[in-house]
Amino acid sequence: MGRLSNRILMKGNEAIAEAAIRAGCRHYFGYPITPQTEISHYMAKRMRDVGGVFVQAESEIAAISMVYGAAGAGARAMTTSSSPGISLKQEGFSYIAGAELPCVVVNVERCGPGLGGILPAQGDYFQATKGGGHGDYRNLVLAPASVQELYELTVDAFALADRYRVLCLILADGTLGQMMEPVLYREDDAPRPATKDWATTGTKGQRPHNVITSIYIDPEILETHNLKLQAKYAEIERNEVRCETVGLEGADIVVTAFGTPARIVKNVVRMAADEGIRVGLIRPITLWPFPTKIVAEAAERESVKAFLSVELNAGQMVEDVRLAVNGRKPVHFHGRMGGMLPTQREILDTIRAIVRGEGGK
Amino acid sequence: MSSDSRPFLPGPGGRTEAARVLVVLGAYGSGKSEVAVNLALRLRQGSDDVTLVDLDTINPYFRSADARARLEASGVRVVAPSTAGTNVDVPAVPAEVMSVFDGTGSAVLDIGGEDMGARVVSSFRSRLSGPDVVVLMVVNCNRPFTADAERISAMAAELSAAAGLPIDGFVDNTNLLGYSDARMLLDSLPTLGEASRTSGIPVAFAAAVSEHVPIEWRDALPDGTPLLRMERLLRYPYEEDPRHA
Repeated sequence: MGRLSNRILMKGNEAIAEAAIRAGCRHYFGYPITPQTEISHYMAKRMRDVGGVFVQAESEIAAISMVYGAAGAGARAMTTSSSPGISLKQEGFSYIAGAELPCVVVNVERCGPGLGGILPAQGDYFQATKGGGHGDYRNLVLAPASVQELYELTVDAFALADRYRVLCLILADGTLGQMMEPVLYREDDAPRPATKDWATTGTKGQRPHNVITSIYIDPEILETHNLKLQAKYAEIERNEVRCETVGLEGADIVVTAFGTPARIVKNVVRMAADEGIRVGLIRPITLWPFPTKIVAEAAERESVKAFLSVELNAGQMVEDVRLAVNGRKPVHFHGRMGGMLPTQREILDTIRAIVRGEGGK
Repeated sequence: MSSDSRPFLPGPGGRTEAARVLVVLGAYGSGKSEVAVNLALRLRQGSDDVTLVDLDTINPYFRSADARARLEASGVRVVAPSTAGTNVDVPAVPAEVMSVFDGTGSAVLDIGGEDMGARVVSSFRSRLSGPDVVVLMVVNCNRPFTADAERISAMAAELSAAAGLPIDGFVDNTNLLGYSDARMLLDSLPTLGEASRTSGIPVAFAAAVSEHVPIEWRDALPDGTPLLRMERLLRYPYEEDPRHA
């Protein structure tokens, strides 16, 4: 762990907020909802100290619209919410994509559908990675699995958003938002000023007007705009895939999992090894772009008999795993819903069943 | 064990030793629940009638009621809102809480984080003014809003105002969870000492998970500060296995 004296004990939600401030975010707009309200609480205190703006908006829709405005003016802006609140923001997501505005949104997921409950879930994978709003667009989606990673990926999210002029979404779950772990601040988190010559900062009579918009009247121009967006998304897919792999060499079974379930699976890998089952783990850190090539390469390994995706939903990321495996090996699924977490034992039981040839669905 | 024998508790000046009702306050994530649960278990060693009251209206995720099975197996009665451990985040106070004021047994009240949580106690203020009530504030110097003496004193003032009660003592629970060691607890003593001088609140005792402090310290730090050795009661499936950490 390195020197412990430099570490501070933080809640996941606090780490997100502090990371944003250290990454130069001075504009935060939010509306409270469990299990992420500590982000707003922390921002309300800290923005005062750093001369930033904290607004408790009148609604989630207002908050994402304020992000649109602040980002259009060149500010590093953020909003955060949990699943039902993120649903409300989807119109804003689409407009932000169309207008190519860099911003960061955090979804500390709870369980659904509807009002559902406050406990952890990953039922928003489809919404995060496949759209949610209308039109052809992508969000860059990061999936942390520890409080340290919540901190680091939130810092990185601002840089990625600025680099590609996209909405960068942190997809965490309630357990990650609420858990406490030691955090080490990185040295290089000081904000690097990004050149935003497209922002509406006032012409001062020196240049033509910048226009932030997502409306294009001429169909040819709108298609050209869409092709430009798609080229940008292709560049992100080439450059920004992040993934952690554990024990793929000689693995019998490869488990895919992100966020909290990936932590549980890491303990299962050791338990399985004790009884002679070699389990590898692929933990996507970017959910979009998905680590398709890494999963496909694992499917080519001779030792690998099958895949198992462990998620806090009814089976969402498993569809991307199946696309990547492309029929080369069986792909099984183990999921829990309603705020329940799988135990290490039940995952191990599923792995044993797969090894016996009975496995899952 | 007879129900009238005084429970052993750490704490200088005899105040904590004589307490019948312990009110445990603190900032978010200060370790209140862990301290409260362990205090209840400690009280149980000297009393047949001990109740742990979960009054945390702030955090529905991790709370002392999660340790219910362990507490009840040891004979500690647990009073918690019916919403504890469910998908409901309505801030609820269990009606049964009044039983601890009317009874003769010992009780530990685990109060929610920060001023919002402490405000719950103010509704029972008239019942919490006797000489047998002790109000403790748990402090972890590794937490962002209690990292130095100035912020600890400010937090104490905030909690005390919200609860409408004076704070009788600090509990030094400086830790980094699974990465804790005895050194960081010792390093925090000057900070707590300074907070004590500025706020006028004495350090009642230190609290640490037993395996993180040397066995030979027994029930006191080398400088004489009483030590509550705690049992780690709550484990979750996503935690690193300590054998591999």
